[in-house]
Amino acid sequence: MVDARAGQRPSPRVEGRAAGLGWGVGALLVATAAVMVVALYMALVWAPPERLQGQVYRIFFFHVPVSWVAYLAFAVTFAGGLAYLRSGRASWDRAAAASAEVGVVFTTLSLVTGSIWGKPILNAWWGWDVRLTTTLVLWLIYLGYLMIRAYAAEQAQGARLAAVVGVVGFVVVPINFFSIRLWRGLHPGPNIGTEGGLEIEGAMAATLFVSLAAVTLLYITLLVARIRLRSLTDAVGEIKARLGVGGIR
Amino acid sequence: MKNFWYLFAAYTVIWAVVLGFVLSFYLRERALRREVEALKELLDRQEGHTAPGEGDKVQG
Repeated sequence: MVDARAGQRPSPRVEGRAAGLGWGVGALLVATAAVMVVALYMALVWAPPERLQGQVYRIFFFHVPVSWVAYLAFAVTFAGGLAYLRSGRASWDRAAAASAEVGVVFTTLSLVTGSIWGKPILNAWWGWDVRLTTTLVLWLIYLGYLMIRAYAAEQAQGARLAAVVGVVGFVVVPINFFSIRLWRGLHPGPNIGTEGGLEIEGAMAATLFVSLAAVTLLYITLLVARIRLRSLTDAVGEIKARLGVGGIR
Repeated sequence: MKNFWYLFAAYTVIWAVVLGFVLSFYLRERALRREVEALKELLDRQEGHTAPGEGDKVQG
């Protein structure tokens, strides 16, 4: 009886892992904040105004990185989902779900900032062209992924179903990426070295590169923090289930 | 500055969403820590009630 209860306590390994991730999140947060300050300075002050769009083009320095890093987030969900379906290991599922959550937030930012940028430049908040529509579809797919997890009757069943959605839904990512190269629409073409895109000069390219580094670091920080939170939630849920307290997911 | 409000709105949305997301982590972690403390208390009470003296053995 006593041994059984001792097993209900969070193991030192779980607590140690959570503490280690906590230190990792702290270090990542400091690094992200430092690079983000530099990126914001470059995007809002240092980079010159664009010849045709003036100052409003500066939205580009975060709109493009959040869109690219959302692809990365969904790629991690795809890989994590595949690994989970093959191995059944909860750590893969946690990584995939955490990445999907951050990816949905970044896709939301991509949609909203794109819409705000489109109004003064294209005189439209929204248009049903291929890039915009497939971005919305991508957002809906991964929102569905999170809803399946949240509302599944059984956690393991929800994780398996969501993993399938995360793997199959990833097919929209390359369609979304290549859409502006294959079809003409409301959305501008590729930005560098192609007709129809912004005219990117050296300082603008450098700013884009630093912003991309900042947003990638932000993604990694949020991902690690979310995985840590999921690990803790799962550990507490297991202990409560063994104690018969229940009511936790 | 022409179109300044669009630029302002875009950056405001970005930081409001990111900070809101980070705040949600903080609140969820705080709630979780409270739950862990409550569970520890529950375990201590159960151990103390059903098996007096066993806690000392585990500690030792």
